[in-house]
This record gives sequence, C-alpha cells and structure tokens, in this order.
Amino acid sequence: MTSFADRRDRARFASAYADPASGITTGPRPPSPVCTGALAYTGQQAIAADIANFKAALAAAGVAEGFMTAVAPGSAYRIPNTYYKNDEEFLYAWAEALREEYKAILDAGLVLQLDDPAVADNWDMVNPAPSVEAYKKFTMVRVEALNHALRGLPQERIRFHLCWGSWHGPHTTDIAMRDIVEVMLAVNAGAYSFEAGNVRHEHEWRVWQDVKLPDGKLILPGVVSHATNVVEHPELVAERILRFANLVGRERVIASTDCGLGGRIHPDIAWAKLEALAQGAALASRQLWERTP
Amino acid sequence: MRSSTDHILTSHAGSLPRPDDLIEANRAREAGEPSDEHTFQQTLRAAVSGAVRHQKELGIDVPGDGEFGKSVGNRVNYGAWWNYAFLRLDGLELGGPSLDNMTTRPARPGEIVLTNAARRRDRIRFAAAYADRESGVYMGPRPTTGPVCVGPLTYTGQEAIKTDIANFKAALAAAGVAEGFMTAVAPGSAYRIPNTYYERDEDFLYACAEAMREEYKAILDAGLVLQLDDPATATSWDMIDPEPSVEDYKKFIMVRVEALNHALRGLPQERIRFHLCWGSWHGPHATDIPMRDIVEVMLAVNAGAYSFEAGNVRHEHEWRVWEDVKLPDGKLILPGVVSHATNVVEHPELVADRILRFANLVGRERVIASTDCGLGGRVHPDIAWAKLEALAQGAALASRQL
Repeated sequence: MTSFADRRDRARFASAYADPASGITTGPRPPSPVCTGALAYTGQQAIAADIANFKAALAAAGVAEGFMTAVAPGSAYRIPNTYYKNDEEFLYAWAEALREEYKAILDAGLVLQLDDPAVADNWDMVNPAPSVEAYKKFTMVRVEALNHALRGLPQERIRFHLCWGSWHGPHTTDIAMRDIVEVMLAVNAGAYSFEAGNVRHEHEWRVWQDVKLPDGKLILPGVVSHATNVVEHPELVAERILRFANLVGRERVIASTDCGLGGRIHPDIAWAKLEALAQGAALASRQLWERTP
Repeated sequence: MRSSTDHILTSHAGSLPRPDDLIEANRAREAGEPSDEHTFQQTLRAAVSGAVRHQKELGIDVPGDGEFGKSVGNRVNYGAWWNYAFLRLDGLELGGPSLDNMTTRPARPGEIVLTNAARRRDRIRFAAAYADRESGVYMGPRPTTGPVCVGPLTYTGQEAIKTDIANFKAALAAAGVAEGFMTAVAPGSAYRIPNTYYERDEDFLYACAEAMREEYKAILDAGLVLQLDDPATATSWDMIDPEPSVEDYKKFIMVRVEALNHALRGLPQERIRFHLCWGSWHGPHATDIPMRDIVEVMLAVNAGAYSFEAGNVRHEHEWRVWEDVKLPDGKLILPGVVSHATNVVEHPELVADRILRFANLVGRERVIASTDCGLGGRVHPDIAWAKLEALAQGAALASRQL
C-alpha cells in the first residue's frame, strides 16, 4: 500500500483536494502513531464507560436494541510498525488486541458493528491499480484476521460495515461492489452495512440480482448519505429500500446511512437526514406490508 | 433543435468552470482596475474556444459557451447567470439592497409576495448550517448591494451579446459542432430587484420581458439554441413567508410565465429550451416545491424543450411525474442526470439508469441527457469536467440499451 496522499483519486484530482473551497476538507489530521512494542488492549475502562453510558441511554429511552462500533484489525493496523517481524504478525496482533473490545460490547448484550472501510478503500491506495484478483487475495488475508478475532463470538449480533471512505472527494477510483461483495460476505457477521446512497454506488443494488445473500443474514444498505448536503426526499429513500427488499426480501433489509454522519456534514443536516431516513422507511414499509394478504 | 434520433444526446445546463486567467481578468475588470480591452477580449475568446473543444472531446453533443461572457471574478460563484443582465439594461442604478438584504415582506393567502433571500424557509430551518463556512453551503462572496430600477428599462447589451455570439460561433465552427446553446435570464428571474420607477410589479415584469426579448432575438437570429434560465419558477416557493398554498403559488408563477411567453412571441419555439431549477446552492433543499406541483406551469412556457433537476437526492424520485404527465407532442426534456450537489462523480451506470427511466416514459428520441444546473462555480473545475465525462459515458451506455 502507498500513502493516503498518493491515493489515485487524490492524484487525479490533486487540485480539488488541495482547494479549501472545494468542500473536500477532512479537518485537522492528527499525527500517526508507530507500533514499537507488543500490542495489548488497554481500553477496558474506556469501553466500560461507553457501554454504561449507552445502556443507560437505551434504558432511559426504552429502546431494546442498540449497536456500538469498533474498528476492524485490517483498518486499524495501517500505521508504521517497527516491532513485529512481518505485516501479517502485526495484523494478527491487532486482531487479538481488538478482540477484547469486541467481546466487551457483545458481553454487554449490544450489537457489535465492525468498521472496516479498508476492505474497499485500500483499492485506491494501491498505486498503480492492482488486478482485482490480486486485490481480493490481499483483502482476504485481512478478513481472515478479522474472523480470527471473532472466533466463538455470537455472529447473530455482529454487523460489518464496508465503505469507500467518507471524505467528500470525487471517488472515481472506488472499486466496484461486484468485485468485493464475496470478500465482504466471507466475514463472519450476521449483517452487512454498505454505501448505496451516493452517486458512485447507488446503481449497485443490482449486484443482489446475482449474488445470493446467505440464509439468515441481513443487509443495511445506505439510503441516505453524507456525500451531499441535500436532504434525501423520503420518496427516494423508499424507492431505494424497495429495490433491495424486492431482491433479498423485506425482512432482511435494515435502512441505514452510507457512513457515519457526524463530522462529515453539518449537525442540523445530519439529523434532518435521519428524519428523512425514517420517513422513507415508513413509506416503504407501507408498500411492502400492504401487498401481503 | 437536435433530438436523440440515433443515440441519447448530451448537453448541460450552462455554466462551466472559467479558466483561471479569465477569472482574474474578470476580477480586475469588475474591480475597475486598468485592463486592456483587446487583451481581455482575446482571453475571453480563447477561453470559449477551449471550452467548446473540451466539451466535444468529452462527448457533449450540444455544447454551450460555458456562460463565459457572463462575468465571474471568483472561482466560487452562483450569481453570474442573472447578474450579467444588470450590465445590459439601462434604467438601473446601483446602491439598492441585494436579494439577501431586501426588505422582508410577509405573504398572505391570495396575496403572494417575495420576501428576501435570507428569509428563505430552508435558510431559516438550517440557519446554523448556512452560516457555517465549513458546512459546504458557502456560496462565495455575496453582494450586499444590488441594482434598483429607477427609469424605463431598455436593453443596452447589443455589443456584449454580439461578442458572445461571435465568440461562440467561431468556437463551434472551429470544433466542427453543428448546434450550440446560449443562456439568457428569463424576466421572472431577472426582475427580482427593487423598483422605484414602475407603478406596479407587473409593469416592471413586462418591461423586463420587452427589454430581454432583444437578447433572446439576437441569440435566435444567430441560429443558436436559446436557453431561458428561470429558477424563480421553482425557487420563489421557498422565498414566500409563510408557505403559500400551491394554488396561490401557481397563479403567482403563471403571471411570470405569461410575461416570458410575451417576450417569446413569434420566436422559433423549436430552438428555445427552458431551464427550471431549485437553486444551485449546496443547502439541504428541504423546502423545495415538488416537481408535480409546478410541472404544468413549466409546460405552459412556449419552449420546445425543458431542462430540470433530476440528479440530486431531493428530486431524483420525480421521474415518476412523467408517468402521469403527458409531454406535449414534439417537445423534448433535458433531465439532470449528473449534479453539482455532490463532489462524488456519478457512476456512468447510474447515469444510464436515470436516462432509461425517462426514455421509457417519454420515448428515447425526446430525452437529452443533461446536468441539474450549471457546474461552473458550484463544484471544483476538475470535478465539473469529470462529471461531464461521466454524463457522456452514461449516455453511451443508455444508447446501447435503447
């Protein structure tokens, strides 16, 4: 892999990425850490606090199920390393360390969401572009490390989040969903969240015409997006949901966002998008459940 | 006007990114700095020529002049499409309030008036987002003052439009392109400035129609396609406070459509296209009026083709309007299938999907694939050109299927 700055989309649109008026800004970038010793998880207190805050909030609001995110090893370990002998050792050290956080979230009865944009966005960070086959092999190593971290954990409460990177760039070098959907489905999760609500990936609902979603699994397609300030019309949201529901079955679709909204768009627009999401899901539900006798 | 007889034609809504040297030359001119007229005209001519060539290379069948003759002195610009007219009309005086700063005016049922642009209902709901420079809603330097009409309106842009036409026709000829379009502002969008001369609003509107008619005629007489830019048809909805009834709104807008039709009397409808949009600023657009509510008003314009937004998330679903509304015989539509509303470049397969939806409803010969709005000044230049490329690639995919 090359550097973030050498991403192919960034190279093609260097002037746009450098222009503060272009809307691509990703905010202040922190310096990257380096791994210089044995990795061990030390976030016990932090995750305990996160869980306690969240469970109290869920109980107060009377909500039965909630999800909490944690980063997947393949996305987390992309920092310099001077301690581990090879890349794969470093990756598996991350998997072992992060497993503790995954367990804590699941032990608390919450749904665990694994954030793993690297599955898709590494593609653009390999310069020049590799073959799809080589890339799939490369990414499968990371999926296997993630599955190793998930061994024995309750798959039915694990969801996996795939995305192509949430920065406001042109995304012309995003790999096609069709090329990585099998790799995504190899993750031992019970549900898959992915971008489908922006103009680079909206057409990819058709992938599910050919790809079988394994029995008992769910999808969470993005039907509203951080990629535009315009708030999605609820009827568009409904249309997007219906396309997926008609292919994989209405019981297996959870309407979701492309990526996190926080930090990517203005707070008031973010909340308005969640409102549009719920309104669109209500419209879709009316159509999907009225049809049945 | 060419129609899609053997493939889906491509065009766009008008504004394209100006080259940096033209922006700088415009800025200097606007600031009143010394500027050599001959050098300026050379810069402008070269820019138009380059833009037409670039459009052809990317696969745009019906190019425009990029609106390069309409002065833009900053990379971010949302106003040139109508501000240019103030330099081509006599009877105006500078020093009035801008659209943002005009006196606020409440509307009453049956009595529709526009308030100022700062009181748009979407701006009020999302005031914090509109005010935040990092939100991406930023619209570039906005004028705080604007023109006021203080005397009889007359068109004085004869030289300017002649130059625009000459530059564009030379560029078309050099690139070997048969048909091109040029934009001009419609009276209903142009006359939204204070007026102390005309007794009634309608007198002012019709005076504007008469004056602008001269520009429309010049463009048509030159053999070009005339595109009338009239966002006010849709965006006025959000500028009425409180929200009016749809019926009252349609009545209000029909007055403006009639004034436009008056300006177009006797002109060749088959070379006139009309551009409707909901405003190209990067706001939430949560208060946009639905297409369904204004489509009949749009179709009442005596044009041969209609351009409108259909490529952003507030209006993408509205292709269904054409399931119920009949497009009059012999007319065309130019739906927006790529948009200024996101930096992400549309995937050609999405572009094709969008085109197919329209083609299946109104017939493939009657669809020209276009953009939501002008791209110039609204997205980064490199992204704007990449979007035109995606548009042409998507149209080629759709044509193969159709």
